[in-house]
Amino acid sequence: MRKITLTMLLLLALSAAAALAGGAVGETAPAFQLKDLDGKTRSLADYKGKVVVLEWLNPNCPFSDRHAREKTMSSLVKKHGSVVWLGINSTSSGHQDFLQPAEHKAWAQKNGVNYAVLYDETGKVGKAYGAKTTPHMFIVDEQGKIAYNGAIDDDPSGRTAAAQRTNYVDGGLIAELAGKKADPAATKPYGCSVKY
Amino acid sequence: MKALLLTLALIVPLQAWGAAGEWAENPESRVRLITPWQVAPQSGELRMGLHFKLAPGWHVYWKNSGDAGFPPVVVFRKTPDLGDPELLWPAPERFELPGDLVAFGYEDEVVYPLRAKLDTQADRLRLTADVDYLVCQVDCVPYRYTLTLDQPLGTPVPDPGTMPLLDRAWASLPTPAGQGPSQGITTTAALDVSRPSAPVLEVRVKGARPGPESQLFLESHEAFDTGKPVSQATADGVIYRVPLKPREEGKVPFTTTVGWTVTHLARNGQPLNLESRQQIGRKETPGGPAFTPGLVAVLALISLGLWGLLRLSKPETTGGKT
Repeated sequence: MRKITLTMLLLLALSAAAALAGGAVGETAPAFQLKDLDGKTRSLADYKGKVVVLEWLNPNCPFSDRHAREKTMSSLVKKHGSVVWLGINSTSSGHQDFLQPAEHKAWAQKNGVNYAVLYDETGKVGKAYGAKTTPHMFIVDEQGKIAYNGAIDDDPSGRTAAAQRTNYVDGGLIAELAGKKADPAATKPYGCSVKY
Repeated sequence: MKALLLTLALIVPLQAWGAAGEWAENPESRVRLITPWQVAPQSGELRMGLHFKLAPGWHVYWKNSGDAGFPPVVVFRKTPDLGDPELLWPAPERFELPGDLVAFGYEDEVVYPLRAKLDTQADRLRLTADVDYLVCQVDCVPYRYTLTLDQPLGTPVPDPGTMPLLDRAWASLPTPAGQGPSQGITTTAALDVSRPSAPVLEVRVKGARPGPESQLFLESHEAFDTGKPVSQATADGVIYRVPLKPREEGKVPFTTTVGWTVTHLARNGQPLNLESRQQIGRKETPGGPAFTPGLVAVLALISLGLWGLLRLSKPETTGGKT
């Protein structure tokens, strides 16, 4: 009886662990092929040998919207010109937050979003990376390994001025482009839950 | 006259005296500052509360918000003779979200207890707090308010409305294992790395029975993401096993500090919530001692020695295919 109970406990623990797949720093970044707002297919493999930033976003999430209005991401795209920056929207097509390409483009244009945004409406890629929040940030290094996983900065409430915040992705990119490791390499992301 | 009074009521800001400040309201939530006193004592520990009422289905967060969200941030403005208030965290609930995500927090109504040292001769205290919080259902809305409360001071007069609210809030706080209502209860934890690719945190509680709603809540940890705890009642308590995912591949610390709260326990028929924060290490494996850094170094030296011996005993080769 005890054996059965322990086996059941182990099986339950294993099923609970299944939700923890993917996204750890040092792991190979999961490959993907997704369509952007213009319907063009882009894959991670297209950017082999380059540093890539993946930003999970949702224009209907107040956190993504605030960072877009504050130009948090677009100013980093300008600052780190050699880096490929991709937004990924994993909102389920059945969710009220889901935006059609025209609406998504209008939001991007209004906020000066200067990078490609990809649809992942099945959530497959988001789950492969373990993306939990919008925003949730990943840096993929030139070897295709995850170099950073976590929050964009240290101010969830947006209370402080942008210049006073510690921007983890900026720090991670500076380190990565100098041949060093991001420090911290992992933080707890904040924001709305990804609308899988 | 009626019109004049109405006009005055509109142009004169409402003063919040005594035990409760004005509500700050939005479609999803209401929030205010409260104390248990119409007139509070001039010295000692001043108890306060951040009182939320939430629309059905909406929640605010515990100190570890779970996979998304963030806990309320309360910054009090400096008040003469009042120490820095400390925000305390009642035992939370677990909310399952789409996509196997989870949130920890409170729904319907919650009072976050606050406490600060007060020592003054003044007959009035003005409390002002800047509050940032996130309220979520499936969607989330962030809010920021400045809350105030003008508290008369002197011979204490309890408030019949807010004192029971704060008493309940204090009663819902987890108590440190081994103290107060948790006296006689012990709790320990260890990292089980018997399957290195899937480490597990094992938390044991002895001396209390888990109720059907009993749950373990871990505080945020910099090194791990955590899965859903699985519980197993034992003869004298309960064991929780929590799947861990290192945020950096293969990086499982030998020792680390972990904090947890266990809710809905019972001891001698009395319900209680307990909390603990401990430095923990790796679990001893049945086959021998845990892999400590010292043991790893010794094993490495032995391996090097064996490798050297093998090389010495190997005959020289002259190259070429055999």
